[in-house]
Amino acid sequence: MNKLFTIILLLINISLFAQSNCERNLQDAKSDYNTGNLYAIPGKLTDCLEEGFTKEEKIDAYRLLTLTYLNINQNEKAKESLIKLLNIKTDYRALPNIDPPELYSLYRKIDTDPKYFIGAIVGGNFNTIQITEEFTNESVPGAHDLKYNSKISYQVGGQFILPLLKNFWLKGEAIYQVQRYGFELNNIIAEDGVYTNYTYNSNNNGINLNLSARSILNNYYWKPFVEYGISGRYNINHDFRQYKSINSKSTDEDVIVPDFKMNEFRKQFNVGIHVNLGSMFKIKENYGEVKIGASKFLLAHADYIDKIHRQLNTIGAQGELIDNDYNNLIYQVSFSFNIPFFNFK
Amino acid sequence: MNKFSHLNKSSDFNPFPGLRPFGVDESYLYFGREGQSDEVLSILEKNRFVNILGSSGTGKSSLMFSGVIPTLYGGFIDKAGNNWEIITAKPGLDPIKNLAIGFKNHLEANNRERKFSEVESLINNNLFEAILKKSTKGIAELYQLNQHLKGKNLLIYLDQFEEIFRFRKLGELYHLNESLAYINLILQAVEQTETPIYIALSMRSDFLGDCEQFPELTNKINDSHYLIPQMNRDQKKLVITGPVAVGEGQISNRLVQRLLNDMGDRPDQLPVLQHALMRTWNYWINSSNENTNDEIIDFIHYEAIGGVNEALSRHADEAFYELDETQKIICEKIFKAITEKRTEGDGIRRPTPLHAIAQIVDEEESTIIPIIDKFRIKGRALLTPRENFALNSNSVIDISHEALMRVWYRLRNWVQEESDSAQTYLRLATAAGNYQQGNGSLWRPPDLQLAVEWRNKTKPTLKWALQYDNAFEAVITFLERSENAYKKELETKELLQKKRLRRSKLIAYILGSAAVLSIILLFFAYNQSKIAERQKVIAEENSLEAERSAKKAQDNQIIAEQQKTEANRAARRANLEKQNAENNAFIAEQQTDTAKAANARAQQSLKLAEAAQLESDRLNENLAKNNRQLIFEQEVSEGYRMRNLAQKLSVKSQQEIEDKELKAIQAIYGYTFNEEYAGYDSDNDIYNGLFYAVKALDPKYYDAFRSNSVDVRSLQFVKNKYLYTTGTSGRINSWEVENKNSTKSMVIFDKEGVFIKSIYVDENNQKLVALTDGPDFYVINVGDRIRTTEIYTLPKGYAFDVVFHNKTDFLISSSDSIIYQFKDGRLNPQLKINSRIYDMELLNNNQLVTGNNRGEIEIWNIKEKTLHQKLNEANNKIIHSIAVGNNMIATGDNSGLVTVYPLNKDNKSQTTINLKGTDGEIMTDLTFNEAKNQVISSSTKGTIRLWNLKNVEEFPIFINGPGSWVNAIALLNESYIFAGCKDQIFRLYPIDSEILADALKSLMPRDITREEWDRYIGNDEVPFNPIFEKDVLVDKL
Repeated sequence: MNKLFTIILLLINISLFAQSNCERNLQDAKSDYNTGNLYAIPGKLTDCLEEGFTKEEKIDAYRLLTLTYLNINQNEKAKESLIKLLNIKTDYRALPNIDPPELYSLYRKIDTDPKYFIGAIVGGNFNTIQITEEFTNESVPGAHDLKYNSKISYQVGGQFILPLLKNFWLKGEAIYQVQRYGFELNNIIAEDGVYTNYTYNSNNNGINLNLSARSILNNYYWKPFVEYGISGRYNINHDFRQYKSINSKSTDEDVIVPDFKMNEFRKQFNVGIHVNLGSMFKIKENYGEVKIGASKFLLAHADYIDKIHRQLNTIGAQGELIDNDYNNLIYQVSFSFNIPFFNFK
Repeated sequence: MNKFSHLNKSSDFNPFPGLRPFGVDESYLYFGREGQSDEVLSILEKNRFVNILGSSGTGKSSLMFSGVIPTLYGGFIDKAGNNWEIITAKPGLDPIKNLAIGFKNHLEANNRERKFSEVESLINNNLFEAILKKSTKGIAELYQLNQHLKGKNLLIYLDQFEEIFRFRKLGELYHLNESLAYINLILQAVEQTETPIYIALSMRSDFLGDCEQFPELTNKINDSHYLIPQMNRDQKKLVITGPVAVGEGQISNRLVQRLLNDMGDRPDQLPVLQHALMRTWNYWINSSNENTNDEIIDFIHYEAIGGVNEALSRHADEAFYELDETQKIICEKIFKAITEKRTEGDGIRRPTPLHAIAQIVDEEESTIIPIIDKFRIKGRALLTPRENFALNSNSVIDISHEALMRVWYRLRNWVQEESDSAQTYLRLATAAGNYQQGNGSLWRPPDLQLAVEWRNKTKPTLKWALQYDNAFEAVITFLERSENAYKKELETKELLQKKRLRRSKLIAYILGSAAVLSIILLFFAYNQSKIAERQKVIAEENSLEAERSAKKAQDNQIIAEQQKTEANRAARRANLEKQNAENNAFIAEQQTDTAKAANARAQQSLKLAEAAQLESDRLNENLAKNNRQLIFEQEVSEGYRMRNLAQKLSVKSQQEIEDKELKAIQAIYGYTFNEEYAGYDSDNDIYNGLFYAVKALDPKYYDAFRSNSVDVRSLQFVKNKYLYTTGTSGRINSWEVENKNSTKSMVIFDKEGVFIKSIYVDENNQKLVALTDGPDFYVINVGDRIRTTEIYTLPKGYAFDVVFHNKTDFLISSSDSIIYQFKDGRLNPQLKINSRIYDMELLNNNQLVTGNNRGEIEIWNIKEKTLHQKLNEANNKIIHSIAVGNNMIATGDNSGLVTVYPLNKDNKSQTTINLKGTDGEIMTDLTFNEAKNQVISSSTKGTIRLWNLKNVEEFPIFINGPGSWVNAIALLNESYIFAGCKDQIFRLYPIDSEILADALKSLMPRDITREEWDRYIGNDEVPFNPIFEKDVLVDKL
């Protein structure tokens, strides 16, 4: 046990010694650069670049090596060093008027644009219902006072972004989205002083596949964009939860009835269009993204074989709900984290 | 078009205030701090008190004047309405009095229809001050006394509240009590509820710690402070673009970015930015009116005023240069009087009344006022009060903003000097105190030397000294005593030394004379002994002869006796007498012969004596020759000693940091001795002594044209007139150079995103080739009246070098290891070489020298496309630069080695000379100075080296001035060289010590003193002999 401990201590010491040795080598190399002793620099850095430097030191060392090679007429090796630097720190930038011009000039010649991004999305939505054809009639008690309520829900998913041109990118997105809305009828049965109120909450779980074009201002820190495209939706499940409230002067009673499935009365596929406004922003070497927008599904969601007779058996089989034809407009806000992938050359 | 009609009408309008804060009526120009006024007002509404905190230059006063007060007038504080009166004051030296003046000014401003006499004004002032001093409720009582305030809300804004802490530090009891009373007045005014009085303070956040002296104030500040946040980049951008838009101007986006970058992240740069923008706007307006040309505000306007870094400094310098020499000296003293250094690197204002300044600088007020006026005329406003207030004795003089202390290099130095001066004074005061108490001793060098220099240089006055310590008399006495004591010590030492020296000299003379006498006597004795020896030999010979003669005479006597006997006998034999007589005659003849022989021997002795004389002459001649040799050797030895002294002086000069005049003196005498005693004319120490001395006296002497800086990576100078430079921005500039000055400059190429790494121009100034870091290169027809630019692309790779061939055709070396020929707009492969050629030069029309990345130097025949000679084998070096001249090839490599290959008449080289003085860096450029037989190199280590090819064994002259990489060099003429440097400045260096010496002489304010001569040169060895004619220096004085 003691031997093992001694060996571990020895290894730690050797590693620390190598590290401090490399730190000194880097300082020496910088000093050599300032005093013009350029040919001595590669020899001092090569071993430590393989093992011994921290990430920050490696960045410094590759930058120094690039400048050194540029100043001793070895542009090919300079480019190689700069690409190695970029692979370590993908968001490294040489800046005009700050970095030496030869470094900036070489940096400009290297393709530093991301080839694609892969990202994860999370967000919320606000679902609004538009009735396309109304089937509710006066035979339904309280039909004169029915209303659809918009509800908030969430979505999660992933995306793939392909920068096609500098300001025009393509994007594919697969998200799991829950769309919710409420349906409410009042005064259905109004006896003396007694009011009954029926509320239905609709939950629709599905997967959206969005294909978009993105017009983007390709700045370094901020990339504001407008995104537009088409959406396809596969509905996995659609159920209703219903509540009944009876209110009178003396009683105030709530009744919750178990969920019931609406899958057989809903279309499995739907299509729509969407438009979003947002911006990507830099988070270290990656990009975050925030966007707001709206998706409009074009087809009516209700799907009945007999379009006319669509009264449902609900609480007390009293036929209080007549399902209208409707589609929806969803307002969304999404946040995503995207990792860029490069091919420096 | 509207813009110009508008501007022509109101060219006085400038949307940027410069150093001063925005005024109440300028809120429409105030951008970047939107929403912050509301936050301040929320605090004010809640607590009736707010303290706005921020570091210097964050815009506290502007936020108040252009943000808070206008919002207040708009009725933001619901419960208070929009009926407001504002009184502003600064604490200054006398906070309560200044607050009273604030009330008085407000009263007079609100009763414009009534003219207040001077007496009334004075009475009001004293009355208000008395009320404020009478009780802590003074402010509320003043509110009630002033009828015009009735029914209105009163906001008292106390700007630069930190002054109260500064004056407290002076330590006088009066100030301590005054500060406390002042703060109690403020706190009481906030606490009371009878009158609607609100108080706002603005204070530098670095003084926050000083508030703890007043616990109640600290509590109040804790409840009601607002710390001004630092602006982000977008807000700063708005600061620039907002007022420009209001002024109906347009500013280029790249200038906005440049301004933001130049400004950096320091919050205290805002006033500097505002000032630069004010100057840029003025320049733009003037240039637009002149040209009547629709243009937006861009680099050209910004760079013309010197940019953020230079604008304020230049603006202040303009005022400074308008002063004559005497006024400049007074000006320095004035600024030193109104500024001080608080902590390391942090200067603060010291607003001071005019009469006090006059006492500090020891001048009449009437002398000082015109100097101050220069800094507060319209459009300058570097000092307050503003130009529309006439100055009198009590006017408080202050700088407009602390930023001036930070940015104006001259003032920064003054502040530092003043701080050093004060430190010296305080040290002296402590030492004088200790000495008086018997705890310390008098000062000796080096402290004494520094203190005496300080006294002679600053000439401190009593008033000046009282700012720091009241021990002025004690300090001066202490210093004088120290000086006298040291002088006496020196004199005693000198006396002793002189005695010792005299004794040594006497002994040396005696010994020397004895030695010379001994030599003479020795020679004489030797000579005499030789003569004596010879005379002895002659005497011995004569003695032998005499003996022989005596013997013969004895023989003759015997014969005569025999003859007598015989004659006696002959008497008897008469017939025999005749025969005897004949025998005697014969003997007599023989004796005559003997006498003749003796005479001959005497003659011989004479000849021997003559020979001895000749020998003596010869020895004398040898002695004279030896004497001449001795004198020559003495002269050689003197030469060595003086050249050594010259070098020592030059090295000392380089080491001297503090005293620029002494530095210059040491350098010029080093140079003079080296010249007089035939020292090496390319001596590195002598050159650098002069070089740094010139730089110390004129820091911008080497910056080309003494103009604004430009970025330089490559430069070319052709036809003794046209200089082309390119640099970090990718632009190519053309300069017309005459007499070391640029008479005209223009941008001849500027393409965004194109990085030009090097440029080449043919010798007739017809075509310019610009190489990029990619396969593209540009050909600009600079010789045409209408300049055209063509772009060409190498088939593969990128270019390294260009050499012109047949006037405007050229060869271009590429990274694909091919040298292409460019002719008539077409590229054709000319030479295929299995290596990369980083530099190449033409030897003649048909021969090309190349240096490659394997270290090989090769000479090629261009027409035959064959190798003429390979000068060396491949090694692990890389040739970066080549030059041809003086029948030689010079190459520079990555190890810093410069090698010279002398060529024979067939352009072949058999020998290699490695020049000395290399240090492992890359040799970026090489050139020959054929007129002076020099080869000159530049390196990434920031040096330029000059080898004298007459003596290749010697080390070169090193010019270390550039400090950063020198990318390129080009000869202006045989005496000057341009250097393009990585720090974006191109410089012009003299490459001849004589030029530097002349320049230094023209800059030197004085000659060497006798004391300096004794100390650094030595009067015993070299007599005191200053080099300057007196009248040269009289002009300077």
